[in-house]
Formats: sequence, C-alpha cells, structure tokens
Amino acid sequence: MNKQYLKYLLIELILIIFSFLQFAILKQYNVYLYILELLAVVIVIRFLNPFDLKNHFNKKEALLVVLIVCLGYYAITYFLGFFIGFIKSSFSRSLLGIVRNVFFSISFIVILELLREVLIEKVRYYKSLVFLTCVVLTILELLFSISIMHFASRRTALEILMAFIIPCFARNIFLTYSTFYFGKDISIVYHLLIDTINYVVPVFPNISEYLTQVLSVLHPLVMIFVTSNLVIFKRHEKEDFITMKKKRIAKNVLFSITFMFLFLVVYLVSDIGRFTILAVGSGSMEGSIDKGDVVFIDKNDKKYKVGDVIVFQYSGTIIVHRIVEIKDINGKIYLTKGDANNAVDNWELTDNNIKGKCKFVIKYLGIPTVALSEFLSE
Amino acid sequence: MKNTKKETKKTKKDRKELITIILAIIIIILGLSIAYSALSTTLNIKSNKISHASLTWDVAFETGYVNAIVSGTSSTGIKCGTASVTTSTVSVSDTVLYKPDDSCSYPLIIKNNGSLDAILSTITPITPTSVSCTTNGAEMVCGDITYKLTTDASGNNLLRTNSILEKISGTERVYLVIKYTGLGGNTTSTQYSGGFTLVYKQK
Repeated sequence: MNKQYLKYLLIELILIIFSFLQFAILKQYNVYLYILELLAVVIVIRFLNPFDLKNHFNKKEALLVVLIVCLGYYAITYFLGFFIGFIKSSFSRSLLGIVRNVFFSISFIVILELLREVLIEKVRYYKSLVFLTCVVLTILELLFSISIMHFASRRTALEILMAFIIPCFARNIFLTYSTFYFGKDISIVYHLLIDTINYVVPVFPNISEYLTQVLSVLHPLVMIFVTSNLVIFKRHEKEDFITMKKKRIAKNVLFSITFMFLFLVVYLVSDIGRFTILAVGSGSMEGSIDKGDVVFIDKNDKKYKVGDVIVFQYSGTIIVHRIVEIKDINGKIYLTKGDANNAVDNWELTDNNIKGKCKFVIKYLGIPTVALSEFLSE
Repeated sequence: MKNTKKETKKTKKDRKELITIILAIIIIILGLSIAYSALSTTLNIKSNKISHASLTWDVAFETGYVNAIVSGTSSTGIKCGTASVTTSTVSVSDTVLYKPDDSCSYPLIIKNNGSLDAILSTITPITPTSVSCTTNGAEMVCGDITYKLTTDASGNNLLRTNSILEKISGTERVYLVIKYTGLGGNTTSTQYSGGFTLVYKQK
C-alpha cells in the first residue's frame, strides 16, 4: 500500500465517520447544510490537489443507452399502471413544493456525482478503493434518509435493507461503474432521470413493494450490462467484426437465460398472476407437505373436492390444509384438517376464504425462507 | 503472439465482469424473494414506500393484526374482531356489542420512516355494508355503533387532519375505538365491520 492509497483510504473513512456522526449521533437532517458540506469536500479534494480528468470514451453512445433504457423503463411501468392501477404521489403537489423538491434533488445529485468523479479519478488504479468509493457514496445517500431507529427490530431492519439499502447500493454500483468508464455526465443524467422525475409526476403505478424493490435493483444492474457492451467494444475494437459479434451473441444468450429464470422467480413470488408459490412454515401437513417445502398454487382452479390441498387465510395467517368435508348450506362450506393434526380445524371456510389449490410440492426449496421467518420472529 | 496474449487477457477480463454481474443479479433477486416471502403474512403487500428517490417517503401504520382492549358490562360475551391493519387502512370485522359502554379499543402506531415531514391530509371512513352511517372525519356513526379514530384509548380526542408526523422515526399513537352508543341493548347479535383510511402527504 503506498501513500496515495492510504491517503484516499483515510479520506473515505473520514467521510463515513463524519456523516455518521452528523446524522446518527447529532441527528442533524438539514438537507442544504449537508449539500454545502459535500461541496466543501469536493472543492478540497478537487482544487487543492488538481488532476487531469481521464478522457472517457463512448460518451455519446452511453448517453443514448441511458436515455433509451430509462425512458423505456418508465414507459413499461406506467403502461402496466393501466392494468394494475395508479396511486397518487405523496410528495408535495404545490408548485412551490415541487420546485423545492426538484431543486434539492438536482443539487444533491450534482454534488454527489462531482464527489464520486473526484474520488474515482484519484483512486482509479486501486480496485478496492473504487469499491470503497461505491460503498461510501451509498452510505452518504442512505444516512440522510434512514436512522438507527430503523434497526430497532430484526424485522424493520430487514424491511429497510430491502426497501432502501439494497436498491441504493445497486444504483451506486452502476453510477460508480458509469463514472469510471464514461465520466460524471452520464451518471448525473441517469441519477436525475431516476430520481427527479418522482417529484414531478402526480401518480405512480401501483406496483407491490416486492416488485418495486426488484425493479429498483434490476434497473441499474441491467444498465451495467447494457453499457458494458460499449466498454467491451472499445476494449476489443482491434478484433475482427465476426469474433466480436460471436462474443456479443454468447453474452446476450447467457443474459437472456438468466433473465428468463429470474422472471419466473419474480412472477411466482410476487403473486401477480394465476400461479404463485408459498413456503410451508409449520408441520401440520407432515408426511405429505413438510416444513420447508414449497407448494405451487393455482389461483384460478376453483373446483374443490374432498382430498384437495388448498391455501386459505384465517385470522391473518395463511394456512395449507386438506379438505375433509364439503357441506352445501346456502353455498359451499369447506372443512379442513392438517394431515398431521388429530382433529378437523375449528373453522368453516367459504369460497371467498380460499386463495387457491395446491398443484404440486417442491421439497426443501422453502428452507431458507422458513429459517429467516423464524429468525425474525425470535 | 503478443496480440493473442493481450486478447486472451481482455477476454478473460470481460468474462469475469460478465459472470460477476450475472451472479450479483441472481443472488440479489433470490435474496429479495426469500426475504419478501419470509416477511409476508399476506399473499400480496402493497406499500406506499418510495425508495428509489433521494427523498424517501415511508409513512405507514405498523401493519399486521391487532387485538382489542375490551370493556363493557354485557352479560353475553362482547365480541371484538381482530383489526386488520395495512399500510394506510385499519378495519375490523365480526364485532358484536350489546349495551351502552361496550367497546373495543385497538391501539395502533403510525410511523414516518422517510426523510420528509408528513401531514395528515384525509381521513376516510370505511363504512360497513350492512348499515347506513353518518360520517364526520375521524368519527362514523352506524346505527347504535360509533367508530372513532382517536389519540387516546378512551376515545375522547379525535384524530385531526393537518397533524404533522416528523421525518425519520416520527411516531403517532392512535386508537380505533368502536363503542355502543345506542339507547338500549341489542337483543339479537349484530355484527358490524368498518374502519378508516388515512392519507398523508408531504408537509
């Protein structure tokens, strides 16, 4: 480790400690003060220790890619809104409120990206410091919006991790990648497109929390995949066209297979379509469906008969049991029982209580989910 | 020979980057799916969290199922159904009350975990389908039963619009109080179900 490495390692650690002190300890959430502090850091690093900016390549193509992917993303999600509905934005709707939010967003993003560029240019030849820069910028963004109270329980900590931390980190991975290869301009454009628009639009597509988190994570990672084509093209520009094309096709095929698999996972877990999956967390059906198994559910199959395994909700709990009796009293009434239980369940179900019918079981697939659920309940 | 070595090195670098990106995507998406499945107690959760902007919005009830604090002197059992609480609504079904002062009180918590101060914009009653109601903000009278959203357990101080919930861990304790306010007791069981939806906006 040389002096340069140690110097910038220290600078980045001081940034984290100072920000942590400000937000977590002093609880100072003044946005404009924060922006001024970051600007001061940029000035100190940039102008007191000048450097020549690296001549980045393929800027125009990268900008085009960012614009197309971002606008495509908004087009698709808002088109989906016509099917799943919209929710009103909770951000301020007054002109002054919108201007205030947009002004903050633009100021914050520009300063953050200036800081990112300055740090990346300084630590470009040290991979570990480039990664640390990504982590530092993520923490600087997050410290502003989450507090220690969010980690009061395991459950809220996991919710915050999924809702804010992971999407923010994924976004910063792309922004760091983009600044490294293309410069801050592309990062600023992408960050503004993802962020500032939220304060202007009056409605959002009413997508579930899970899908929102998946899209927030996938979007920047897809951006890396798409923009990496430009990087690879530059890296191999002396190679012949046919070899390049073969490599590109292989890459795209691999990516497509990955995405088809992930699409299937997201479709089943998000419960937006006809089919869904559920991890079984109790042993009431031991023998046929064990704890940790995953059941595949068809929500459209409404023809129930004795012996069918169904999924229903009772007193806030999702239960997977077998139908043992069907009565017909002013509509069908279903009596259920767990295969491992001694007695029939003490409730009566109607068609409205039943979510769907189990089609088949996948052994052991739900073990991580059940283990995590038990850990959160302790 | 030199060129070939260089090309092989570049190709290895590309492959490494590509595999890293793909593995990262798979691990993150699978991790999110496992975590979401572990957290879900209902099959589909809709949320008003806005997490992909630098100004985060996260104002919601602490969700789940809440049991009532029961009070009253009816000899026949008062039934207080479990309150179903989502991010912005609270509703109760299967409540049976007989005499004046029979009541079910549900303690609830609203939290602002986002980075913006929030102001309570609207309180919308969810009216039961089986009876006609008169509504007035955080109070709804349906026949002999009155539903209130209050800031105290006894049901005296109604929750008001324009109340502010501060950013980053601002908390408001509210109570859904369902009380028998009719003149006489019911001789037959009557089930009522209703609730309220709260909408918060940026202050």
